[in-house]
Amino acid sequence: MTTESDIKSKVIILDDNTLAEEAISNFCEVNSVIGLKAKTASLFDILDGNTDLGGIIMSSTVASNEMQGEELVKAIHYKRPELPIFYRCEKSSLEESPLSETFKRLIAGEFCMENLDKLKADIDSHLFTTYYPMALIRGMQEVSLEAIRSNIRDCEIEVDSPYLVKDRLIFGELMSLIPMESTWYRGYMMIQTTESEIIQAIENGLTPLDINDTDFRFVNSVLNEITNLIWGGIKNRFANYDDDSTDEQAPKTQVPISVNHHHKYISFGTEEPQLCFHYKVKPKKEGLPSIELYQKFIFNLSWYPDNFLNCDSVTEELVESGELEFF
Amino acid sequence: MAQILVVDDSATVRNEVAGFLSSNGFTVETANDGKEGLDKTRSDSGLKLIISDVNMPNMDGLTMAEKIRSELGNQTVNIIMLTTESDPRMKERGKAAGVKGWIVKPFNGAAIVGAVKKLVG
Repeated sequence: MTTESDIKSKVIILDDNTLAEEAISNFCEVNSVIGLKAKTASLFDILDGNTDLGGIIMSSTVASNEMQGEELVKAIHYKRPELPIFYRCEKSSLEESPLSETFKRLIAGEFCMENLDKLKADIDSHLFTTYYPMALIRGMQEVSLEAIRSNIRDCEIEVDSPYLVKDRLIFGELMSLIPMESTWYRGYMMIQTTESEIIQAIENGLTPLDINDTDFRFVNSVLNEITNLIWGGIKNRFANYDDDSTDEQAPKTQVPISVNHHHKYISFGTEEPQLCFHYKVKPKKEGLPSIELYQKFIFNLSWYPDNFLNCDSVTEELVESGELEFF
Repeated sequence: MAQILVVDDSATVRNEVAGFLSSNGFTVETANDGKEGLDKTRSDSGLKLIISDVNMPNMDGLTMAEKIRSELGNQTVNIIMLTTESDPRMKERGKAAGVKGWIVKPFNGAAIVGAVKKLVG
């Protein structure tokens, strides 16, 4: 198993100036941003297909689909309005003709190579807006890995660094969704994957199901059980049962969740980035395909990580999972 | 006539627990939720043990346990909860309903078989 736990975010770099592109890549590396250099010809394919982007860093001179500058920004914004655009301009051109207020509404911020601190400030204020304690991140990963391992056996699991995503695209065909709720957080967890990968895991005896149980309802049950175990594991590990400051009977707010199947798009009504973990489950037996699992947390209703610190100290007292406690 | 009833809305859990127990010589029946579990308990007087999830649609496992106790009394079937829940308040509710044991998922087959042998013999 390989894991990393620093929180990052993936950003497309779109620049026709090789020196600037290189400098921005270096900037990304030291600022927890994964910079993905994109070919201008394939920009809109990338925007269509990527399910885990944080934003776009682009220059005012780069061209794609015969568009450039403001026209290209408008096209990107129209296609993916949730993605913040960090717009690079030449210092001289900014001084000569500042960007219009109308145009500024389409972008997260403008910067020039002479002032990368401005880019850092814009990225921080659009992507790294929420504080996630590292102990929580590690705990979420541990609980999730245990849940995946108990449902998909004889596998190695690779885990990318957790990252923040602004896009709202759904990966694969299969998605589970469960409310996450405690005294210090309220929101949802989604897990997304591809049906054929789970079917092959069932067929090859890697799950608790019979190898003939490949109907989609059984496929759903594998994902559901993984989801359920993670939900329960996180609740047990991070719940603060001693906290009686909240009234459980009090009415709780909700917001509608909208799903557009045609565009494979889901919205939780918040502009905050989603916390994403990507697991690559690789069967030990050679020749079997890997299973990609995308896990996303959206704490859209409440998030008080300071209270997490209070409950973290009591987690050691909990009974180990798998053990029988006789009454 | 089954010795053990496994109640869980997850097909993977039903399949796995039933598989462990069957391969250890027990006869096992399954139910998808508390409502079906209650119906099967009512109609099978030979049941020795129920292994049930807590969070299920239609009727949760603790409500099922409370109904079984109120209808059949404490001397009949043993109940173990197999669940992701470890909230002490839920455990207290289980104890009050005569639940004999609590296992937090994910589980291992040996623990389940050991518990079953202790309660069923």
